[in-house]
Amino acid sequence: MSEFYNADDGTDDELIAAAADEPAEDAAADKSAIDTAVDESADDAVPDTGDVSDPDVEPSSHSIPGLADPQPEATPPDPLITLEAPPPGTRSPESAPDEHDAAPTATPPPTAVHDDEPTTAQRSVGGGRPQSARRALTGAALVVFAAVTIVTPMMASPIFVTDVTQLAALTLTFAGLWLLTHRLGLLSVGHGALTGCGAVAALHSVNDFGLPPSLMPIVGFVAGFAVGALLAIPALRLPKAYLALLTLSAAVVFPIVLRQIDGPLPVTLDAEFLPPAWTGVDARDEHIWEFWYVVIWVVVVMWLLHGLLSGPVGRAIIATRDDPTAAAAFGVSVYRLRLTGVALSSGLAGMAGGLLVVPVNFTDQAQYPEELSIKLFALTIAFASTAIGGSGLLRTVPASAVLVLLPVWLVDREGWLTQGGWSGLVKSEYFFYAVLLLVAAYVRSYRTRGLRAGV
Amino acid sequence: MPESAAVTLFLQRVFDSFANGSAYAALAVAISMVFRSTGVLNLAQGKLAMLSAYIAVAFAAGADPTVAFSGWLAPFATPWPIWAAVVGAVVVSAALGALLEVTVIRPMRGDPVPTIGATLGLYLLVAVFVSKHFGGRTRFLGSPFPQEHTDRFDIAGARLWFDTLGVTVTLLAVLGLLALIQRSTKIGMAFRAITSNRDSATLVGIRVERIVMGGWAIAAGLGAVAGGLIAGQINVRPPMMDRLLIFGLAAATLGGLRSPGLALVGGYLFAFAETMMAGYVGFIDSQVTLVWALAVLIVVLAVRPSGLVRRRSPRIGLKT
Repeated sequence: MSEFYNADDGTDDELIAAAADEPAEDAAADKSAIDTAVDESADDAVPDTGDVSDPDVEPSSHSIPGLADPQPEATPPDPLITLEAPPPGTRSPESAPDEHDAAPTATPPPTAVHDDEPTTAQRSVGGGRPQSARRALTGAALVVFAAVTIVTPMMASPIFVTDVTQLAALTLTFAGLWLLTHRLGLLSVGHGALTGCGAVAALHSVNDFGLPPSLMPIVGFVAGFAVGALLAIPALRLPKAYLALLTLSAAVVFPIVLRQIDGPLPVTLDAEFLPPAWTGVDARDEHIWEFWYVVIWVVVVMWLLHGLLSGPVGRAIIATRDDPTAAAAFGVSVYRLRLTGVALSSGLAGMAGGLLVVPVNFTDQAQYPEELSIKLFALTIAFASTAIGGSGLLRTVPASAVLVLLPVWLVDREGWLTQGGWSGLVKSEYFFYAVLLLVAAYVRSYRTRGLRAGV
Repeated sequence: MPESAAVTLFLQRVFDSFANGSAYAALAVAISMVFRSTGVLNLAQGKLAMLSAYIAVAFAAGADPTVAFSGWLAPFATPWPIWAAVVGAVVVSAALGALLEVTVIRPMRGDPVPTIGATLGLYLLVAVFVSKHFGGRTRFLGSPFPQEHTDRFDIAGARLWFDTLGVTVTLLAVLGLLALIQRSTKIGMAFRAITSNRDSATLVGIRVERIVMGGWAIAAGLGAVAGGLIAGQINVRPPMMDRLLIFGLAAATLGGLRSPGLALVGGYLFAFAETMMAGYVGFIDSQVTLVWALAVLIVVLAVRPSGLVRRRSPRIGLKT
């Protein structure tokens, strides 16, 4: 097992070893069983098992075992649908303890992996409620979310809506980082720069090449994907610190490059991003349309990502994280999969950049300093290694909220930003992130040590 | 351009690259020293060197109302000579490096995610400390070496300033001294033993933790030397070490992050290439050379992943 995730106390190793020792009478079933094992350990893997209550982390991964799932369509996309809906309306309060109680049984003892037929009973243990109820809940969540999404921008102030639109866009950057950190087990300190790459590429595609602004997210994705792949190709053949090294270098270099390309002043988007007539939104209320546009993109992409990661590719990714050698033995091309994963992760960041241009309308070198990348990294780590969060895709929302809303909150505090000396230090944004990083690091290493000592 | 003038210009550019090269080399050596002994990539090394430069400024400037060190630096109210300020900064930084190793890095037990997270936490902490305490303002330290316009050697028409020469010689002397210590003292031998096999070193009774702490102190001290000396050429300001960090990382990569010797050579090579590109290639100005450093970094990693070191079994693999 990679030293990254030693905290998983070796369960996966045992499972894989147990499966690998099995006579080859039913190789296919074995493979599926390993996939199950890896899959089911996935959620616990990152937050270091045990005490992190992880109620809503992808219930589907507990409930749908193996490759040969008869009903892949039944994967309820509720983590995505509850993306920004207020928690009380979307999830019954009982459901969380339910799933939490079920969590220990969800990771089966090594013998359980030899069960040929995962029964519906097992499924309902993992899911905590029957399929029809889940579907009803999912539907209800969808309706609530849609209602909130449609109504909120009409009620709130334009400034707030613009903030929330940025928040939604940045969720994709966090999703990329989450994939990279928690699923691939790699480290990137350059996702701020990759987001910036996407934003700049998207803006210039409209300004200089006359592409329609609605294509900006796609241009951003392509730009992020390409740059991420360029950094990953050499770095992934080396120890993991190298990817951090290269991405940090990219993060430092990016504002300098941007200054060379665009000059010291911000560059404004030439095109207007006006609401289409069928929406019925007044042209002056473009923030409403921008919000809807961004949220639709984010929801669709998150849903696709969730689907991808719940399937065989997702399980292969987890396998490469937990034990690359074993994964390679089962025919997974570790380097290629990691490369694709990093590129995809960077592409998501780039797409977030493309979406950010929608509400912000300009790019500027000062928007993407290397500290942004470090802040992104800090929040990604913190929301998974402390009690605040688990490893689910939904954790990207609070992380993004902190990133976007903390500066807003700080600006509102009289004199906090301009204050010098010790008190100014404590009240500054970077101090918060520095403490967040250090605390997350201590907590994580403390847990790792506890688990290693057999506690 | 007549031939002699071209030679002079070339020589001048070579000389100009010496000072930067020394700083890059010092940082590269510091990074590879820490990495080879502990496996920790200290991403905060550049920021710590920047902090050291500010500490040197605080010593040299004496009591300065614009510096928020009001009460507790009062004993140091008298301005120190610049060389003393640099030495003071080296001592303080070394102590700080040791302290950070004990309090921040050691508890992580080499687990990569928390360790990298912790070094990034230090990165931000130092950045915010400097911006709040020194107001993030550009400060002038000056050089410990004579800087008058007559203080130079003229070699084939090119000017080699005493300042540049002093910086280069000092850094080379410091690094030479370190190499000598590593080669011929017991502590140096212990350090090398840890580098080659930490577990075995523990078994034969070497006090690994102390030596590693010393390694961090030396690395931070080296950063302070780089920061303090280069401050005579460029002013002390918050982003001053970002360039140095990138070039330092790139130079350290040439040595596979494990060879201080190659890192040293790499530092000078990068500075040389930087000056040459900025000087001879029209569209590259000094800012963009940083991009070329990154490009070289990528190419080197792609072509020679273990750096320019010749080794039988490069550390390439899946489980790393």
